[in-house]
Amino acid sequence: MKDKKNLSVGIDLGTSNLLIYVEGQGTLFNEPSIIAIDKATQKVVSVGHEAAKLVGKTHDKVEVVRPLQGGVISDIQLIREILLFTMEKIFLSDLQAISRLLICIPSEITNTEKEAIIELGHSLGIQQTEIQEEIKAAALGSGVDIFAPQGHMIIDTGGGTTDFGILSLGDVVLSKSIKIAGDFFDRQIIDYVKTAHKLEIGSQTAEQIKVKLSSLTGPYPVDEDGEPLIFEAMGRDLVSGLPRRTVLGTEEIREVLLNCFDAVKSVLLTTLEETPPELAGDLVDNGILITGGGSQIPGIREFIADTAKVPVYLSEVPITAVIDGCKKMLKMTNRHFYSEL
Amino acid sequence: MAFMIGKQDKAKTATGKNIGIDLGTANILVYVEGDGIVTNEPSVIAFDYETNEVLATGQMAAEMIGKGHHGIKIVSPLNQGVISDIDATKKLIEISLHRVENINIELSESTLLLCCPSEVTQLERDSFMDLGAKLGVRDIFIEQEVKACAIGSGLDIFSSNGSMVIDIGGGSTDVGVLSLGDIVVSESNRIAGNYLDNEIINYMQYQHGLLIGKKTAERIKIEIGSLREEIKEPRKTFANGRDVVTGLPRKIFVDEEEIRDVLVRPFESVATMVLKVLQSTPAELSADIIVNGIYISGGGALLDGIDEFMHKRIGMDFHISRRPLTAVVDGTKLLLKNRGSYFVKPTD
Amino acid sequence: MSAAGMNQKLGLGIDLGTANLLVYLEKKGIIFDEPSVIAFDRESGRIVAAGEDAHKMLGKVHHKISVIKPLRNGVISDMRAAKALLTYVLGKVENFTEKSMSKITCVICCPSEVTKIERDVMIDLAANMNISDVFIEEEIKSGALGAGVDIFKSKGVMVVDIGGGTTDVGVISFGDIVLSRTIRKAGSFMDDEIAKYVKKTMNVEIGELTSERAKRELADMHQESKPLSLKYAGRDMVKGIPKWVTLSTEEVRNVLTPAFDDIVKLIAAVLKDTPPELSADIYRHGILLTGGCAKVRGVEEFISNHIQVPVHVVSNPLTCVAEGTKYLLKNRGDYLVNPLQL
Repeated sequence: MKDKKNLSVGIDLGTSNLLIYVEGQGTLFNEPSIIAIDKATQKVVSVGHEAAKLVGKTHDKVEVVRPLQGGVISDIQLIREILLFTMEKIFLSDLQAISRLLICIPSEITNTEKEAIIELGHSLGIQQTEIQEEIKAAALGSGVDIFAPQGHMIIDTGGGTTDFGILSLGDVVLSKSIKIAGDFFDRQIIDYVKTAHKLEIGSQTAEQIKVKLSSLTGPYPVDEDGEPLIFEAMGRDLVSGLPRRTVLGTEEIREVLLNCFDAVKSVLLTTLEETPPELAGDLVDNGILITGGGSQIPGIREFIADTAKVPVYLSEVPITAVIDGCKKMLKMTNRHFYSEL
Repeated sequence: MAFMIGKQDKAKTATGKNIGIDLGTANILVYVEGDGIVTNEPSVIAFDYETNEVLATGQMAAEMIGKGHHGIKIVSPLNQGVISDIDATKKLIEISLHRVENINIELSESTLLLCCPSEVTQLERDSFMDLGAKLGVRDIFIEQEVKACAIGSGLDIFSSNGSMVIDIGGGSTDVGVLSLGDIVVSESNRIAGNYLDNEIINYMQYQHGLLIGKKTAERIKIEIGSLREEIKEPRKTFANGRDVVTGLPRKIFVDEEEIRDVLVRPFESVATMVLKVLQSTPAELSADIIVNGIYISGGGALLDGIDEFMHKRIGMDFHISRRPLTAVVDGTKLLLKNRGSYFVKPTD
Repeated sequence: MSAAGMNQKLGLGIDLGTANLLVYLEKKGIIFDEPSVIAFDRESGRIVAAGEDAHKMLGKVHHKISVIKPLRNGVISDMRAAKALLTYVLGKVENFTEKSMSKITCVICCPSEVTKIERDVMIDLAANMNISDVFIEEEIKSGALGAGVDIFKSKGVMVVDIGGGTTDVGVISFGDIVLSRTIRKAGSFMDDEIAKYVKKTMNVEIGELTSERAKRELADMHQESKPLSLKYAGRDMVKGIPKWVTLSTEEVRNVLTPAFDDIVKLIAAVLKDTPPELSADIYRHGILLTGGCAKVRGVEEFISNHIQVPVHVVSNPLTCVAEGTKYLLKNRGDYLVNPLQL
């Protein structure tokens, strides 16, 4: 007990990536939330980047899982394993040094799941375990003053889910979440390539296509010479089963994305419709902030602005927004920051 | 971090004071004898929904209206002039008193005067007395707002010269004729600040297809509210809200003339009430009123052109109180001296 | 009653006027000369105001106060209020205690024609105040004395007292009243007539104080008076809201003429019944006019035009009754004793 250091730790349990921040030491872990387990022994084989590399490339004895897929906790035990594994890696069994743990979770998590996570913190020996909604952390981390009596809207489009949140007075007024995000786009790209190019590609390839060729509106992305971008995808011919390559262009990918974004558009409008009028009024001036990996899609700002008819801003720290917000929250001693009493 | 008034917080020099409170629906004002008006803030208090800890009071809490989430409970404990949540009211007063610097008030040795609207039931009156008891004050008395308002407007209600006052507040509008230190005739109705805000909200919804919040409606009323028949250069202001059809945030501009048209209708009811009071006024006092004119006080007195409006409909001369927002609490200063007895005209 | 016995008692003279109450106290003079109005707090019964202050409250009170005029048409209509008023008046005198009351001789002046019951009520009033030694006299007798007239001569004097509640007309000679009559039309009646007129012709209701003021400011019974119009405020009876009305001296004269005509008729009737020797005195020396309404402009001209007898307003029409009690107390109304020579 004499060695108890009183460290505060923040964890972003993202669907795509897991980030762990330690006060005074910075973000010590930032890797995909993927775990590889030996099916027989149920022991952890690898976590993070190592496990990610195994996706689509392992044999049957190893199972590669993304426990936060789709924004829900499919298996709390796996989460526990990931956390233990990574925390031990960082702290080398010195978990007692941690006095406060703050975990950011997706908005649409049930109370049971919330309790399970708090229990998790306790079982790791950390009494002061708190949960916060990711969207709140993302807003804070992006520099929004969520504590003012002013309405702000955040769209966090990451890997597994796209979350919509209206925040005011330091908390979430209403939030919505759909499983239309990075992973979904990848799957849509795979489907498209299958249908249009008769080629079966892997999810890693799909992701690369997405990263290089995505756009939603405006001029199509070009290379340094001003030539339209293309991507040579390697996959397996549907008919013959033999390896083949095909060329994909930016127009095709835009089509695919626009289809996906229909759902995003619809939920955006629903969220706005349900926003209390006083806060909706604030949005006219404060606008919408987009954060998360998807905020990098060229043209997304104009697309959302066109739909909502309010100003739209992109977070300057889209990938680390949540953890940055965690940092700020760890500094707060008061639940409702603005209370002066 | 619960908020407490701990005995250990107070210095040993706490003394009893005479305190007058205008528990308005919109604003709470507190006067402490010897120190003047120590509180003048919106009657709003915000609690943490789970712990019931007080998060903010007054202006800060008022800014949260319409902007809260489920973790915050925002309460306006005075509803149409009567106490609807006695514990919240008690906290509001305690915090206001405690916040005043350099004054240490020992409530158990203080005298408290609470002003209430004219038409309150016995039960509602009792709750005012309860409030005093909960605050730990032993010496409490209640006065009608209209009386305090007339005194605070500078009228000598103790003479036999009759005076008449209209107090347009947040929750209610009170009209009273006073003479010889007390009320001769009085009436009140709920057509007041909050009602007007709602009328503006309805107008924006049905005419402009825009849903706005209460705070926005109030701001519009304050910035461009008017009752003038002829507006030479209509002022404009913006209104942010949510489009009824598309559900999207939208900003529009409204001008003074439209808002005037919205406000005229409710004020016809106020004029009717004034007429009713005049009709019940004994002839000799009517004579005084036509000579002295009728005074308008309260937030509503600040509406541009209200004296002209009333004059057109009733024919008497109308005057705006010199300090319409603080008239009631100003009046408590005098009433504390004579304990509301009409026998004694207090000398300063 | 020996003169010595009488000297030990303190004399108190009361002019219980409908409009004004005047009280004379031996050695102090007139200690009270204010309207006969008293105001009580309804709940506690405490006196809130009396006299002038209470008078100002007429028509202006809220529910906690009740304002009462204890005299109507010259007689006591509210004993409790009358007693309270008198007690209040006496209470203001220095060194005047409960015990002092029993050492008082009191004379109360009343209108000429009062019923026995009305007289008894006055004696009761004194009794209620612990005054056992009380006698009643007619106002006109006191008034004449107070005006400085030597009524003890064998010369007929006619006094017309137009007060608040009653008009008394009487003939006095050799120290006492030969005949006298009363009608209950006087100041108050005139105020009411003015209010009725305004109601009927202008549909406006004016208060008591206002009609009284209108009478005071505009009444002029001269045949040709300087035309004057003034504004008064009241309440529109249709709309119920305050309204101004304008009254002129001409209108007021027209309103008051019937009342004055009745007074003239009364005078004529009394004259008719006056023994001829005394009528001769009256025709020669004229009629004395006292009381509040004697101050109405042109009233002498009005009366003398109709009666063809000179009319003189005494120099102290409002206080002569009270001042006269000084002398009445000295001779206890005995016509054989001339108090003017005491």
